[in-house]
Amino acid sequence: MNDKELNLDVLENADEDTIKKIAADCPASDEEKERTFAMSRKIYKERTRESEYKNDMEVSGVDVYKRPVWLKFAAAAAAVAIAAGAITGGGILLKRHRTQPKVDSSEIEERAMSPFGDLSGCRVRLTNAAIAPAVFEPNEENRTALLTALNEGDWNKISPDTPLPDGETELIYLMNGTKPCRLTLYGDHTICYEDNSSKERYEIDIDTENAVREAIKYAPEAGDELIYLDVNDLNNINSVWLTTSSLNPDYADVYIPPAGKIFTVPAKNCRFCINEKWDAEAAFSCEGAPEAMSIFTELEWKEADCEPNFVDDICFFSFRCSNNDGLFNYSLNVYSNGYAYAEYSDKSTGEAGSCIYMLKSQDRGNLQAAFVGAAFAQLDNMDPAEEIKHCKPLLMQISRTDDTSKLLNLYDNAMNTAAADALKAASWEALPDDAECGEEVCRLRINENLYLQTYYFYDNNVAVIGYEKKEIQRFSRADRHNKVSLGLCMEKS
Amino acid sequence: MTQKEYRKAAALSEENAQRSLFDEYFNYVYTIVFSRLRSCASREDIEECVGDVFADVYMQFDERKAFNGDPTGFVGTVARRKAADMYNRLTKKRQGMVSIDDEEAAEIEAPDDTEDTVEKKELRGSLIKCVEQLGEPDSTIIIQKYFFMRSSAEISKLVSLTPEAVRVRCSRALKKLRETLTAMNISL
Repeated sequence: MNDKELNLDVLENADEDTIKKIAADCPASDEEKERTFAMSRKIYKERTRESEYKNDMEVSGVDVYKRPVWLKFAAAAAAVAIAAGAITGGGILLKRHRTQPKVDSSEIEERAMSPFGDLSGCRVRLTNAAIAPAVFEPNEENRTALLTALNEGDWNKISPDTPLPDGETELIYLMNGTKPCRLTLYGDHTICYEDNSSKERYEIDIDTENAVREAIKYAPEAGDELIYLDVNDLNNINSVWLTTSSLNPDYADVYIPPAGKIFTVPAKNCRFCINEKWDAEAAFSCEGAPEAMSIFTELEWKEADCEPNFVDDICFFSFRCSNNDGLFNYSLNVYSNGYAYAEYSDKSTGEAGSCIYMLKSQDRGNLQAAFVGAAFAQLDNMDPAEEIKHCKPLLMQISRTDDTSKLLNLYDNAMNTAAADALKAASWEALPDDAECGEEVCRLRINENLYLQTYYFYDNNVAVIGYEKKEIQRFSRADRHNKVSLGLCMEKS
Repeated sequence: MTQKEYRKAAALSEENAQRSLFDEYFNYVYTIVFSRLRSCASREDIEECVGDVFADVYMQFDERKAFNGDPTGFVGTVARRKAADMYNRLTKKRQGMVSIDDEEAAEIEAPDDTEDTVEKKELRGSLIKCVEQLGEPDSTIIIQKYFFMRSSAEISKLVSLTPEAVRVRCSRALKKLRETLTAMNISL
């Protein structure tokens, strides 16, 4: 060892213990970390794309337009050109800044421009047959690539009466400042340009067309988000810009724990039962409340250590969803002892899986709370006949004498069913709160899985229904009842 | 971060899940890769290799066939394998092929030497112990300077000292370390 140096080569290729000790002193700066993270993402994306490409090749054979090889080189060349441009441009700017402000106009290279002006600052929205009537705004990289291709392409004006080819088209909506326009890309290397006052048709070179097609691909995995429009909006180059929300109320994202990912299914195909086992007739729809399902992503889905006996336990929440063709199905049952059984199958991909989980007490409470709100929101708009289909009567009591405050249990299940059927069969009409009531002739109290209801029947065919919402926390043994709130006045016909 | 936690996070945001995983294992992976490549690779090569390791880990975590529990061992294995690949790639360019009949062939070390491996492990343990005994910030300065090969200016940012102070402390710490190693009959 000399006086000034220390040879730590012995630490090279070190064992695990040594590595962990040295790692505590890892010197990488935040910039290095950020650079490395970006690199890891880039490599990951490239590999994912390659693997998807290989899969496509296996399924559909050779498709030269799927991923043209030249694009790699074009992209590399473009990257080099951009980098070189940035360096040269930066150098020129610095040089100019340091010297005379006077600029020789002959040094400035004329910027490439499309026949409809410089498009480089345009906002872009895109759609095609696969996603219409939704549109999406491409990420910055693709937006720049698209607008550069359009600016630099060879445009050859042709007659607007040139016959249109068969096949799908790609729609490119541009907003240049406050001026909107639409480009329709056809399969015959032509583009139709439309703004509020003119319509023109152009032929473009194959390189431009390929560059455009590559830049306008919808890639949800890269963060492209759909913005759902009315189909008529696509025909109007102005109204396509009016909608900004990307939420589609018709669809819901459901996290499927055994798959470890989210599936998007029609919200109307998502249904749930609360405080009872699955009953298709009694189930509530998630339509109108797709946000309730976001709770699935927030729960801790911890796999259970053992298999419980579900038969003996009480199912307090059940959920089912499917897609429209029935190829995807998912079921979830959550029991009051904390166990949950989830099972899914996707016949379109051959994926399937099931798992038993143990949910935390707090998670079960959160799950119930998320869906109880959705259930009550729907019950509020139902008449008693509809309501009793969704709320399972657990116990019924009825007055049997003139003293309607004295309630006695109905004898058996058959009587319970008969009373419930009578309520279902009746037709109900909502009356104003100040509707006149006659003399009370009968009182019926129903303990349902979500409500405690009391029906006050009067001799003028009017019934007043008192609701007491239940907030059942079976698992914590801390049942609590809200105060009775007076509900609808109904006339029973 | 277990694979299950990763998948759960990835269901919400792939990038956030990858970032969490990256943040948790970056120091570990970087050290493994650096430890293997420090003698032959540039910092850019090392960064590329670390990026490659994480890309591989993300892809493995995406796969359905997976593993439970702490993935540190798995991440470490991927890092070692990738670093070895890059080491071979970088050093291959510099080394010509040697015929088995050549006189030089006899001088090429066998790839595995158990006795040497055990000795080196013991030596590493003693060395790390001696460095740790220097206390902070001297131990960090020594590791940064002589293992991670960082400049005094770079180290100064890590230990919140001026570059001059780093140089002075480094010189004193090196002298102290050398004395300790000599007393233990360790020569590097």
